Amino acid sequence: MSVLGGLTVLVAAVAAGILVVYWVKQPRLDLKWRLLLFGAIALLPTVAAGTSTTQAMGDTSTVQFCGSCHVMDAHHDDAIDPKSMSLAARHTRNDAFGEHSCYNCHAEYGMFGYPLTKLNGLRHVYLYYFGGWGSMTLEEAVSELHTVKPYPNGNCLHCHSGLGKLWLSVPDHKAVEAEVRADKVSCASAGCHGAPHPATAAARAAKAAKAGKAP
Amino acid sequence: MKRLWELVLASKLSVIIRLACLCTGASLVLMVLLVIVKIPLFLVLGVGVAHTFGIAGVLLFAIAVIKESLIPRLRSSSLPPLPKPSDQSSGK
Repeated sequence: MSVLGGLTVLVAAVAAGILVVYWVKQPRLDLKWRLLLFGAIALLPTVAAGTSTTQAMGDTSTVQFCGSCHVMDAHHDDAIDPKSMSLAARHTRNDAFGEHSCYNCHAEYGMFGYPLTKLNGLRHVYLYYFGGWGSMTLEEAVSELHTVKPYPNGNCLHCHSGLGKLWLSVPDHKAVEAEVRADKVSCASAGCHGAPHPATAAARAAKAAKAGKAP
Repeated sequence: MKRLWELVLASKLSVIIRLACLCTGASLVLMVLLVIVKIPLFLVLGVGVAHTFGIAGVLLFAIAVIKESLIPRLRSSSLPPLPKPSDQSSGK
């Protein structure tokens, strides 16, 4: 168990102990018991809420959590595949992203980035249980589900600043720098770094080809 | 809402504090489960439910404090003034 988890259990146990003693003994509400109840109902649960929420929110940002819905199986399996050379897999193998690679690449950044990302995650949960995602087959999901808006280059540039010598030494980077910064050319476009999740791109291409051939 | 408020005001102090203990206890159990159980849907919904119970506990405790300390003072300040001793003697 992590430090936060241990702290949550410890604080919750102390608070619960005070509440149980009050419940069983039913003592007179003198100053001592008022302060104890204030601690057990307001102060200690606030600490436990902080630690448990931090821990739980951290758990909802892991690759394992993102892969827990079957519609993400293809993305998840590719990301953790040690032999895959996709952008997702290479970033997952990188220690800087590691266990939180899905979150680090798909998060909203900025002042309200974290809550906005989590709210968007709640939308996913809603769509999974009430929007039909849960009943989709993996094949349907891979070809139909897509990000709510085009993937912003800003997320790539959040880590790859685009100011380093190495980045600028690549002629293609220099040639399209303005377009990249204006989100007119995607870092993950076919001519550049390619689709981060190849299975999705292949399924979508196959679906588009099928639709094109259809009478 | 008004009825609920009247019901709370009419309840005994010990009942309100017991309710606060129950809500806080439920919140604490959920918080502990959040760090132990790693079921995805529980992680998503558990945080919200735990916080709701916790806030309910704090609110009930606050109501108990207000009911015990503030309301008796308000009532005593709104009572009519006591008759003067001279009035009492004249009534004999």
